[in-house]
Amino acid sequence: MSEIELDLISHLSEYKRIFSFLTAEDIMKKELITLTPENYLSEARVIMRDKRISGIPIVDKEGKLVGLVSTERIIRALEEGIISNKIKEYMTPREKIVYFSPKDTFEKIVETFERYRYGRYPVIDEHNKLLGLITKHDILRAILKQFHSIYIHDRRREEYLNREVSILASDKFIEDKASFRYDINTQSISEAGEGTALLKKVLEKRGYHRDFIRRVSIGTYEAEVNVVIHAGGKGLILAFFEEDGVVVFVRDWGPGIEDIDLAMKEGFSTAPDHIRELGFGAGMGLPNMRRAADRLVILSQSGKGTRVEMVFNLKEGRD
Amino acid sequence: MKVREIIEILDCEVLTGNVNLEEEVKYGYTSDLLSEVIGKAHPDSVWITIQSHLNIVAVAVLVGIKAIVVCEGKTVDPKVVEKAIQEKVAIITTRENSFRTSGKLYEAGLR
Repeated sequence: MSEIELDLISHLSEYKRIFSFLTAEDIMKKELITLTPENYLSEARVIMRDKRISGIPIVDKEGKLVGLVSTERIIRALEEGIISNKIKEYMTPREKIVYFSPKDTFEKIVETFERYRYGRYPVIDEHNKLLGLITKHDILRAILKQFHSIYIHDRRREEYLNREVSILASDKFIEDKASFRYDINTQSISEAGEGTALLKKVLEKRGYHRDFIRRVSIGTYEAEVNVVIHAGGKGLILAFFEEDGVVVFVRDWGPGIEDIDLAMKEGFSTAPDHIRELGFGAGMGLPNMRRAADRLVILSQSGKGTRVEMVFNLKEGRD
Repeated sequence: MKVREIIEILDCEVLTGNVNLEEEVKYGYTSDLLSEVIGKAHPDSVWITIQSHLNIVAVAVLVGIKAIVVCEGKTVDPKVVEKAIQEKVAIITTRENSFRTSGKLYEAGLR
């Protein structure tokens, strides 16, 4: 692992408690490439090169873990001129492998990564059967899946707020390139949602699947309603239609969000009473946006407005 | 269950004429908080609420709700009805409360 990656892992230990509910079986990747002791080191080398992986678990006929071959071993095998030999005599044997059980905690996993600094750890059940593999990438992926979103919440915000390009998709958000544009300009709550309704119709015309349209509409509606309730009703919706999905951008020049972390909590709302009586302000808007979008960025600064970017990916078999 | 059957079960008035009467409804959802409905109601639902303002139509369209039952005898503004007809959402009003209305529809098989 590089210096930066090690640094990343040591930072992770600061979040041990937050992710304590994650276990090895949540984190591990299950689609594995394995070899048997009877395969050759040269075969392992080709797989590592072509699939860009740094280690291959070695299993017997019943799928039980018997060893591991790493890139380091392959490099040495090349140096030693034994690359045409069978794996069985050169693999790291089972008893020397640091592994996880399916129910091992996030805390244990991070500590193990810190202590041993190997690239990968197999996950095996009580019968030694190989279930999965955990690398640092798998840990990061599992964490990102929990977040679903990024909140940039420091002094760099102002700079980003006024940038014309997207944070999630750097070539977008030049206004005249948008596939859809709607200017929000109403202080009347009963008119909130007009922009979303129009966007929905456009998406329907383009033939997107109804579940996909629903997700885009939910995220956009919540963002639009927020502009009307919290930002004086002046804002902008841009949407970009891509082959693999839709990106929506909602910008306002209102008072901004004081504390984004708090705002993301279900049930928290700063909506006034007359708005709440209409059934708004239940504190579900941002959580709904997070659920609907595949990726969400909210940038906000007190007094400078708010900018929401949502990426909705078309998923095979789902949308 | 068709929207028409829901109307027969409830002691109610239809404000939107023939809109969606023959549409099939499988689920019900009862809430007055719009974002809860947006986040949690199934498409092809009937929505039971005491809200009667214009935004209920927008919420119904977003979710795919076929019919809204406005309870407690709340009056629904003609503008809302007009919008509902335009967007193809049935609006039904009843004097009963949300609990009793939900109960009747549950008993009739909606989930």
